[in-house]
Amino acid sequence: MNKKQYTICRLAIIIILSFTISYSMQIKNYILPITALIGSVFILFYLRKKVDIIIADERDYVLAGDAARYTLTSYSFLAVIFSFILYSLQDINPYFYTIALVLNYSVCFLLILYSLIFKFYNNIASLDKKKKYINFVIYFFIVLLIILFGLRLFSGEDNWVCQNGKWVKHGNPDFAAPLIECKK
Amino acid sequence: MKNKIKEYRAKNNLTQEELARQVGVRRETIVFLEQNKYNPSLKLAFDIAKIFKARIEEIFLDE
Repeated sequence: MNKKQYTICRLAIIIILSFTISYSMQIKNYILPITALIGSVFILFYLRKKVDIIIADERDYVLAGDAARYTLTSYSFLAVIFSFILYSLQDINPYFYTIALVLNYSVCFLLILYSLIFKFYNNIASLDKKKKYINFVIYFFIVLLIILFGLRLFSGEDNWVCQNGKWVKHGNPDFAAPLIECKK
Repeated sequence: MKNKIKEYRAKNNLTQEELARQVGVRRETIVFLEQNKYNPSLKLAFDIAKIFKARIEEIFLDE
């Protein structure tokens, strides 16, 4: 397979994946997009192995590293500024508070993940194969724990619930009830 | 860092594509190297030197 064929295949897979995701959202099937996404990753991985020329080399990796570092820095900076702006405007729309919170936690998660991955790559350089595997498992579980902790934070324990056409407190939310109409 | 890759490539009758394939990089990387817009890794520098059967300091000049 040459690079052109690979590019066409990749484009086709992305189009099919986008269609699948949008269709799944419409029919409210959330397993289908996850399955399609995982399947696409494996297909792309397989196709990449079949390509006879080099798609990416050390220069691309250096550029990718720089781009990733600047993306991380600029996203963190902008997200924190926007989150504070949204936080200060929460009286206009209570949803701003939730958006600000999501932005802040996403920055925290991103920075923790970056630090862990950085440390992982920094550590494995000097390890043998068995220790590399153990290290990978440890870091995988740390990331998993962080994700579970994050999900617990956003699980909506303290929130407003729509009941019989009224917004009812669930737990102790520290923001006002949503302004949109409750239709349940 | 300057280099004499273009010179050595011409001497060895190699195209950018052929050199790129032999050292395992993209042709664009060779283009950037020849234009002194990219500093290669030590491994790539050694690989290039090996292809041209020259010493690394003969190809890459610390200027």
